[in-house]
Amino acid sequence: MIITGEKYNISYDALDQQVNFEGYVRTTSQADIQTIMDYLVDLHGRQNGSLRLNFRKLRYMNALGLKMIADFLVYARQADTLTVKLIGSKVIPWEEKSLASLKGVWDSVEFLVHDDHFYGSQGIIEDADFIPLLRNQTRLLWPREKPVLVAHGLREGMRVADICCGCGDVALLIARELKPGSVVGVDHSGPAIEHANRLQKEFEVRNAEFRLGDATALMMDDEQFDFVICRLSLQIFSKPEQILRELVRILRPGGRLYLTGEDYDLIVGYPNERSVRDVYEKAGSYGQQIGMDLYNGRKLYSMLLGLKMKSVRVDTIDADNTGANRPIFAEVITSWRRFSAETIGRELRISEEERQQLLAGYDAHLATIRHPHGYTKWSVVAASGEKSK
Amino acid sequence: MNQKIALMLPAKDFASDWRRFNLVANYIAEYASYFFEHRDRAENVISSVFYELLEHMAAISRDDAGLSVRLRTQDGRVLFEISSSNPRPEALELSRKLLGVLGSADIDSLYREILEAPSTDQAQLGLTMLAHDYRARFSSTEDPSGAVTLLATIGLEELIP
Repeated sequence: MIITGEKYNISYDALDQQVNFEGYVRTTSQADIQTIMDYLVDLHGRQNGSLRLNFRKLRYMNALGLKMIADFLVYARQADTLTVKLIGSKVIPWEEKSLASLKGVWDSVEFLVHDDHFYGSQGIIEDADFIPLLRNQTRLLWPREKPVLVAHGLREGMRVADICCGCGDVALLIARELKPGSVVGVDHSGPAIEHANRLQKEFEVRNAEFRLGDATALMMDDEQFDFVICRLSLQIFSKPEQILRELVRILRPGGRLYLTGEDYDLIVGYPNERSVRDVYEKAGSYGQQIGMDLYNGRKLYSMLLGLKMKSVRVDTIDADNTGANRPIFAEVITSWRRFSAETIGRELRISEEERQQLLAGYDAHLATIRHPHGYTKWSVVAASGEKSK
Repeated sequence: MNQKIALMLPAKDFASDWRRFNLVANYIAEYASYFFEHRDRAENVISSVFYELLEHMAAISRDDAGLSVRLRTQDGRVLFEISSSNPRPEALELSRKLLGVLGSADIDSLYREILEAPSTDQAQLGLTMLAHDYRARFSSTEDPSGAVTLLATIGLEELIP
């Protein structure tokens, strides 16, 4: 749910248990203030661990707005079920001055200046190209993927493994919203697992845990899980069969293996349709040159049948830029743009001319998203199969 | 900044649409910010201070009052001045009392008390927030015609990172 006022938007990001304030909260209307307060109280009742209030994109808040935040802190202090973190930016002076003052209301409130010390290793994590990319993709895909996971057989009480879980967002969302008995996330990236563990602890997600590990040599017993997930990851390995073998090994007979993959032919946009097509063909070809298969979505059905899986089911998860998704979608494309032109481009040592062409192509796609009547869709292939008994 | 910016505005405009507080505070702040070294910071601080002062002065003014807004610097301080040509006597009395309290009270305790109070006195809230968060100092003068001028000053250091 999003609250939209004359000059502000207030939205909830389930990945971070975070309420994001944007624009200006300078209303003199008690009704507006009460609406925001009710929203915060409702969210407070639905969290474990902590709730973050993020003001980094809020240019101004008047004294009445500050009083409303103080009222919420008094409510949270009395309820005594969550910690509350206020996140500000040092480049917005009112936040530095006035948010810090709210600690006077409740000394357990943490005030974090994001640019300074918002989590020790966040700089490392968020400066890495792939983490913001993954998180933005999850923001876009999760509302559509959640029912797909259920349709593919994920049920309450199951033992779930998320292999190549990245920074753990999807595993944590599954743990909180689909209520499996347990979710074990594994990834080879130390900072990503640190990040996942920190969120797990902060949000008190007791049915999730994260481990550092190699997906081709998992330190896990055979046939341990009811539902094994590997999302948007097989595409980056030149020998995905090594991972698939492990995924099948840890899955119990009768359990389901769930895979998702990219297919760059399924990214479409209008207007600028030719430029949009061209840039993903180019990016797909660059990916291939460094061993990534950005068309592997179409191969998942064959892979699962090759593993002798039964009852194979295939769906697409379609994310488009309609409604509230427009800014998130733009963030995703911006992340792809940076990853493709900078990270992959540097790896392949593409020429400046090629780099500029790539950037121009992504810019054409961004223009499509920002065009008032523009439309774009990104489809991810989801496939699952049952392990034979 | 030796320059000065001044505007004259009808109080009834604010009564009919509160969004004008934001509009005017941002206009003055953006205009004046060019006079300061740390422009973005100056803009945010000036707008935040003017917004609350405008709300306060509009609240104590009759609809036919004119609000005169001035900003300047002097002796290492930024001076925000707002005059109302026709204040409501009862509201003016409350404003006088508030300025007296802000001049003598322990601002930390007062602000905390206001933040924790179950109900909100908007007139008191804005100026106390400025006194607490921006270390603003206040004074007011009244002239024989009945006009009142509220002067708020903050240190120039508030505009420096």
